[in-house]
Amino acid sequence: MRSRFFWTIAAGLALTPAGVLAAGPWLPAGPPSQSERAELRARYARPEQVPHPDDNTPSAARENLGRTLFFDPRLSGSGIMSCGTCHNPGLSWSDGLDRGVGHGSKRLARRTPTILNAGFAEALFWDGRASSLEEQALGPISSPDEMNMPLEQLIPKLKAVPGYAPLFEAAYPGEGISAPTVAKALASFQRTVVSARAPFDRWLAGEERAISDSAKRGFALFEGKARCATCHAGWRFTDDSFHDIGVPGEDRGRGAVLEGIAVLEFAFKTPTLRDVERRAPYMHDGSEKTLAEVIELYDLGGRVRRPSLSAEIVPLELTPKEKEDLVAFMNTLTGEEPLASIPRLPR
Amino acid sequence: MKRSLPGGAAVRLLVLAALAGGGPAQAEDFVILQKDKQFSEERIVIRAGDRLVFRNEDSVSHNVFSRSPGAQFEVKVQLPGQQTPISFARPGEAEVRCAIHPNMKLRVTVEPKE
Repeated sequence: MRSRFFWTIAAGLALTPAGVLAAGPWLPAGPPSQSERAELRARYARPEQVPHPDDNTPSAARENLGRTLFFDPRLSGSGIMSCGTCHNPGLSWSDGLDRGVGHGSKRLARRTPTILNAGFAEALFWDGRASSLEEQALGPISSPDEMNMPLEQLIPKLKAVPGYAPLFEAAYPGEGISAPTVAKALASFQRTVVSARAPFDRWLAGEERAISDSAKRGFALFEGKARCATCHAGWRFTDDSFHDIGVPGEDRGRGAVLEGIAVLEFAFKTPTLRDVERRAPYMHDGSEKTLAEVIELYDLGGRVRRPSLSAEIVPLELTPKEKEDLVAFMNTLTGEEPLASIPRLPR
Repeated sequence: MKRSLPGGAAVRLLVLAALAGGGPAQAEDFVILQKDKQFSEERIVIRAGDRLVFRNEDSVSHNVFSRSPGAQFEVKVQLPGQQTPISFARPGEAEVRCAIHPNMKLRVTVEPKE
């Protein structure tokens, strides 16, 4: 499904002012027309609301409690590690490391995924083993490798902090301090972590100079020759799909969650590309250090070819200039608004 | 939606219907499209013995499967343009998903044969 905009610029690509077909990368033929821009805006429109389960309607009290818990290191066994230690808002809600570091400085198997736009995701974790934020939230807390805080110890620990009781009562009246209310509060907070408006959004809205010509060419490649939008689709730049994209390694990813489905071996969740330039290194294991390296992997059709390799991964034959344009486009997805504030923790 | 039975079976059913004055209904095929990374239906009610024909009308591959008790199957990778029929033999409920695209969901209710 390619936009008419794509074809317009593809058709106009290499005509010089003299009308002679020029070699090399093409240029956008001009700003999208009103109808073309409307079509693009519809395709990249963000929903007005973040979806939520019926039993966890958002409220300021719930989001505030969740934010407080998220940044409280007392949720870890060591007392020095909060959710925000790895999901650091200053690093696009990740940690800038190739693989996460857990309890006792243990190096984890996978890179810390951003929580940006996680409220819209169909499945959580790189392997999609949780289907809701409520289901996901307690996993890293109780994992011995990560925050190492058994839930049967966490709840008494929180109850012993006088300042938490009124926060829980305001958020979940009559439900008390429990594993389910901790999970629901953390989920409520994470639903507020939504990517900010980026230059790409301003360009979609009609501000033609919000992104460079290189980025515009990159966008056309992104939706066209480079096939990125096959999976990095929509306003979050992900369709939540799982693919083996040819990253070397033994981690079976989704294949270990849904056993017996060949195409899911070595498959991982397609991540959002919002703010992506702020989250190097890349892939589920941090094995690609820069966006340019990521594009090299796709250009090769994957660095390793296994039977599970996604049918969508094929050699792209991109030129060096086209690769630069793709990076220029991805750099326009970085939000421009302030980050979340750090809460005052109860004592 | 279409009927699709081998000629012999159709004849046999017609004979039975004539003898019984109504008799059992024929098994039917129902085509479920995969288009824009969605199934063409969110829910469908069929009868035991009916088939769902999963047809990939997308430009990407899909991998339809179900792990629901009584209706466990996997179509495996379907490239664009491919289609595969799956029979639902037993009454019950099945959740059909695409392994690649987890937001594709189809609820199948299989009612007993009449």
